[in-house]
Amino acid sequence: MNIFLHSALDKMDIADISEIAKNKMTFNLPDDALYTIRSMVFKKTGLLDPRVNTAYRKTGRTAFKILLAAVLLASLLAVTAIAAALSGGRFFHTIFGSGGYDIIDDYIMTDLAVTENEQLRLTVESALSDGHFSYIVFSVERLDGGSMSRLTPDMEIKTAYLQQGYSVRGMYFERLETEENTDSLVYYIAYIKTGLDLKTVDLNLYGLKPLSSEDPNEMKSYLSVSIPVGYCPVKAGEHMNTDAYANEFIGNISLSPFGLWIDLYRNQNKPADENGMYRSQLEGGTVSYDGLPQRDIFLCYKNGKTVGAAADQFSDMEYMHSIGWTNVTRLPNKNGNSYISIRFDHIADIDKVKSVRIGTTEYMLSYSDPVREESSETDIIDPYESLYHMIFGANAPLQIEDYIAEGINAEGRQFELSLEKIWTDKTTTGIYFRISSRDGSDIGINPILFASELGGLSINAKDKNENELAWSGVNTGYIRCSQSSPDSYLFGIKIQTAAAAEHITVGISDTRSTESEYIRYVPYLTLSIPLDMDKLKEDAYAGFIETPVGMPEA
Amino acid sequence: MNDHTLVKLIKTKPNIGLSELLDRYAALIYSIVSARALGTATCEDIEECVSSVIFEIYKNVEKIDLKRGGFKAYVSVAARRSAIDLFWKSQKNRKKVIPIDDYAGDLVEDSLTEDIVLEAEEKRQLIKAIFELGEPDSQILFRKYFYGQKSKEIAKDIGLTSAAVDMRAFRSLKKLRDKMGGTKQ
Repeated sequence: MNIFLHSALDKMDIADISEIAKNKMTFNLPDDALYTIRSMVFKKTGLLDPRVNTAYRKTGRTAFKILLAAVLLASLLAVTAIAAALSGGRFFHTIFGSGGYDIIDDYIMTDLAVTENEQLRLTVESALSDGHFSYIVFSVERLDGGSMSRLTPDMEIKTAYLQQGYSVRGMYFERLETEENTDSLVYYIAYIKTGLDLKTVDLNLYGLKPLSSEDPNEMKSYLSVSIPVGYCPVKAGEHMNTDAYANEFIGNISLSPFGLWIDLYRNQNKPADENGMYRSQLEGGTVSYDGLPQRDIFLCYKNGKTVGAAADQFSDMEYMHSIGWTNVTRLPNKNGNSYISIRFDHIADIDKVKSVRIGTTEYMLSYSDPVREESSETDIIDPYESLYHMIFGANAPLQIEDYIAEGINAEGRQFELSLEKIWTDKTTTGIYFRISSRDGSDIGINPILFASELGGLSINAKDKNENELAWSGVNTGYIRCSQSSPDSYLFGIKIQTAAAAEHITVGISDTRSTESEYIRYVPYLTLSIPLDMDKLKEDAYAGFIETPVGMPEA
Repeated sequence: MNDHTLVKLIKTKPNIGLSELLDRYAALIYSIVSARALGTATCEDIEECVSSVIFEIYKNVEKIDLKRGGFKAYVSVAARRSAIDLFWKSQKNRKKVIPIDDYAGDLVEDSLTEDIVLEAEEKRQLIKAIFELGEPDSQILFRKYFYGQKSKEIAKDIGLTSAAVDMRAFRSLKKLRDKMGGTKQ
């Protein structure tokens, strides 16, 4: 008799599976799949994803301590003490050596949480992060005095971000070899790499497990702590993409004392459609990683010294102790973008670094650590500032005061599109605009967030000779919204053009969903925006208003 | 957060509850659906199926009787049933099933047809026989073929090596084949 396991398992009912389901199970779901599923689910329900509305919170050290205190107080966990007596920062000597330690000393977060039960104590000693690379030193102690020598923590590390979006992610932990380890207490270090700025890291300890089948039995015991993350200063690269037809563009460049992060984007410039508009990456689809060449990467110091590696020295996850660089990774993500991350194994004095050379192009660096005033009552900042940090990154210098407000809008049958604020240096442009329901009704599902079915957001940039420019840096990862009121959405977009642009046109389908499908009423609703801050600041906005293309009679 | 709290949260603060539901169960559902439908359905279909399962759970949260089994069991069965639908929709003329008679390497066989699908009673007998294998073998089979866990993940959860998990799965399937009267083809 033939018996087919899947066919039989299909007959399992809740009673059958309930005993098995009680066991702890580990599953891995790629971030991009989770993000897609999450978007689909919230779209189906029509509910607002609470993470889209997550307000940016200040992450300076003072704000961080306030936040940490709040989290600790609010915790339902048995947080029993604050390890104030010892400085957890001493462990970073073990990681980076003592050279340049003073550079990061001020940014090592110490005095972190302790939680325990009858069997185990979990202590988070210290943490260090630049937003992309994070280190967390923690210890696990057996309170029954038993040996830890052949056991290892059964640990889950979960991350939450300041903003929603696709995030590459990698993390692991290892035993920290320190003289402070005892038979029953062992220190560990967690290495975390993320594509988006971290907000919190949760450490969930499920117990201890044997290193091999010959070792002692596992100990099940649950402890958990949540650690808010603050950042050290970083330097950001100035964009100088000059080749409109290059295969790839350099996006964000972020240099910290212990790591370099570079975002790469494929050139998304496609032939214009019948409306003269380019479609954004929101169209979806996977772009092949093929054809993105590897680059030489060097840090260029002010004194002329260079440190780095040639392209042929790079390979995925290659260890590069010989030149002091380690853990080099270059991977594509779902949108066809990729990144290069380089974790340093000793501290770099970024004060002395003037630029990063990628291939043959040198990208000048400048500090991007914002000096922000402490808020009076709350850590939550206004929607524009929140959006600003979402699209430019938490460490980006705050230029919100340079934005102008109001003046340019376009009306379609159902929706109105209006420019609210803009900042530009002609190659990098930040735009805030609002999409509103014209009749004041609830706008419902965000028409841009789910624009992949619609054609949605369009970007067109032209130089002073009316030549169309390639652009990069516009994708779902940079488009954020918060539902500021039921009848409108506020958007922030960062657009990076290949060369200086004279004006940018932002367009959107004027659409309304029904139960089963989306209906496009007009081809596009467009805003043509001159990238001249002086003109924009003048009180003559009417001259810049463009009649919507193909708008039907109301 | 226990099951009751999660259900209450979905009822009282739907968007936050839904977010929590996604965080806790999306990976599990994805694994179950993938295990049943991978190779016949596309990644996009699987993602759509997973989102539908979560949406259905959210819609029917009032009907969930936690006394019958935990929330995880309810989610697991819902995911499996949706995965079955996806499987048949995706591959009407092909089946991707695991014949106990033909365990070899990756345990997957795709040349079977409608006439060899067991009757309900025989399927129940096979489920019973899996339980009778005892721990950890029964758990390994359910984890591997119902939940779609990788050997490495199973090894991590139950404290064995990946090789030991694979060997136990291999031997368990042989035992089941003998017990159920299967023949090597």
